[in-house]
Amino acid sequence: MASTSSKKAYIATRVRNYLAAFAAILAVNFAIPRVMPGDPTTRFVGPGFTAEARQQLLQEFGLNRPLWEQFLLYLTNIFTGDFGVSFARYPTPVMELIVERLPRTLYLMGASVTISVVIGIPLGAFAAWNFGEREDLITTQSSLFFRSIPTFWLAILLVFVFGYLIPIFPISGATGSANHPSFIAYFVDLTYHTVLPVVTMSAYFLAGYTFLMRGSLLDILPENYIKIAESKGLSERQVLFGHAVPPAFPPVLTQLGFQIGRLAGGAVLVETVFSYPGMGQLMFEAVLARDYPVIQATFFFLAIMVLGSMFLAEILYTIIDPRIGGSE
Amino acid sequence: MSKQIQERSADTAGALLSVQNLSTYYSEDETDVPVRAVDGVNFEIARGETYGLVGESGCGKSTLGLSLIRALPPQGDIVDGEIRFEGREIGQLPKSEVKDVQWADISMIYQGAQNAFNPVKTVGDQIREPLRVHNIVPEGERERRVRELLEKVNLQPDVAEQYPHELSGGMKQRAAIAMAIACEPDLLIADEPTTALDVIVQAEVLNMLQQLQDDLNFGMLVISHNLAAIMKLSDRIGVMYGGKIVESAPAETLYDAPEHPYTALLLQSLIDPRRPPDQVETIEGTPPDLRDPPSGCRFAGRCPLATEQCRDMEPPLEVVGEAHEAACFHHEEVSEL
Ligand SMILES: Nc1ncnc2c1ncn2[C@@H]1O[C@H](COP(=O)(O)OP(=O)(O)OP(=O)(O)O)[C@@H](O)[C@H]1O
Ligand code: SF4
Ligand SMILES: [Mg+2]
Repeated sequence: MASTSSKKAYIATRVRNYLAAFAAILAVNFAIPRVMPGDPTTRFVGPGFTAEARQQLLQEFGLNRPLWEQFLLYLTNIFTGDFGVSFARYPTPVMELIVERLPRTLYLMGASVTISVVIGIPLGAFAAWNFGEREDLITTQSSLFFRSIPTFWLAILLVFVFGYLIPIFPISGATGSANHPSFIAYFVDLTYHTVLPVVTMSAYFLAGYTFLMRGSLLDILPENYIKIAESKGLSERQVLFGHAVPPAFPPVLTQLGFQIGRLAGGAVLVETVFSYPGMGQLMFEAVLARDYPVIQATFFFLAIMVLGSMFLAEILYTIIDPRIGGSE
Repeated sequence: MSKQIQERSADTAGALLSVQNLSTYYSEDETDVPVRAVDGVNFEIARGETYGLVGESGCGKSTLGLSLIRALPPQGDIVDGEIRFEGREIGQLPKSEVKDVQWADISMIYQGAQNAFNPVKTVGDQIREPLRVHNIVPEGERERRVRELLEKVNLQPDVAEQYPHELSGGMKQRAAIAMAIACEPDLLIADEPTTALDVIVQAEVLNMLQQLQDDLNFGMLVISHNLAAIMKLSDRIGVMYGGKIVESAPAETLYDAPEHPYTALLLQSLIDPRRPPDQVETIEGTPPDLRDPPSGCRFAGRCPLATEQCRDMEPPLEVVGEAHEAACFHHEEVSEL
């Protein structure tokens, strides 16, 4: 079919663009510490080091070599997963920290994306279906509220209300104890501890999906094919979810990549406020401690996560929407 | 299919569809002054008959069609009258209780067939859907049935796998017809089936409707603002003005001897290629405001024959000849226009 081949061409273009973005990330991540004013050695090698340790590190990172050699070394290190050792937690390898922290942040982001999509989209559909009624007004008003309050403010509010006034949720940490009898027990503990951070991270986007879905549907509901679906003898629910939501869905999906991008930034804030030991907190601490290898690695991983999820969202969008890459 | 054939032979006496005093209004809420889009309409359609409904834009044609298939938008409401379909009253029932009639017995080609298909579903899926909803054809045979339907409207069966944006305007209109006849309905409503198509395709579509009707023997309501377009196709024509049917007659009678001034003016305004454009009659003035229609004859403001009586009283729809009805106090004078 004609559309399949142009779809492939479309995806190929995307792949090329994302590869270019990936290359840019690699370059920027390499350049930033080196273009900052001052001697690169003082940036990469912490001030409190002995001359011996310093020399050893300079050697290890190849910081006394020409720039192009440094770049090759940098690439080799990245592709072998060698991000050096942390200055602040010397001599813990950076990769060890990442491996410990990354899943926690992925969990936080995954939960937040899932919750905002799974609640936000049906809520938007519900509001559009009841356009102008009280249900719609309540949904729109509360979405507007969550859309306008700053995330840090909501975080503090939640800590205050559920940490002090009605202390039903923990306000810090990822788990209550270090040892769990089973994975299920660990997961339950983790979920309980992350209620507040996940709510904080979801609210803004949940409201966003609600608005998007509502707006997208309000455009679609007066369309002929909706009236036709209705007169085919389908029930209201079948018309809404079988005919109105599917064409409204792809534009919402494009927001997914965007949300994950914003979440990476949000993770730094939320993890810091809720003392959640994830990548965001690691990055924040690394910045305070001028722990350059960790900064570089966390930046790299967050950027790759964002890029990867945006890419996936876009591919998914292309596959789902037959109109993309259609008959031009 | 055999079920439908049985029903067909069982019910030959009496009209297929009989509409009595139907009124459909639009309003946003209770405080809103309603738009009286359809206001006390009566007509009948027999099996195998084609009823043409004409009238200028906004006079309530689509509203009438949507009332029959019970697919009015949320603001629209049937406020009075009855719709009898095969003897069963379907106008006053809640929408949820007429689902079995929709599409299986009464179906519709919607105005604006360009948007008749959901952009993210294949054409075939959408034609198949009513077969599933009404369980018309056994599941395993639906695929084949869809292909047959597409062939019936002169489309390649492969169109089933295509998405709407891959079809041309004329193809979409034909696919919409295939979708409308999927369940072999008893009544087909075709709302502006030829508008927005080029002339050649228009003729094709009209011929196709005629042929399908000969095949399937459904009653048909063809709606158009263009009298010329549906004149040949229709057995009977109803002329609608400001929410009311003001004249109805067999197509030929209406053409030869209209008894309502509005019909006469419509006929005079038909575009004849031999007539220079400056001699084509147009109807001066604007249609009545359906929120606040005039109390007398709704056409009085634009009618060359209007008198005091016309402005004071509403002319009833009366028999003026054989199978011929008109709502005009001065219908005898219409021939002089
Ligand atoms: N959803 C609605 N809400 C309020 N008024 C409406 C609505 N739909 C239609 N109307 C009004 O009802 C009247 C009849 O509309 P309708 O669409 O039935 O006319 P029509 O004869 O089909 O016109 P056209 O030839 O343009 O299709 C018009 O005055 C229109 O403005
Ligand atoms: S009743 Fe009067 S105003 Fe109405 S159409 Fe007849 S002559 Fe014209
Ligand atoms: Mg219309």
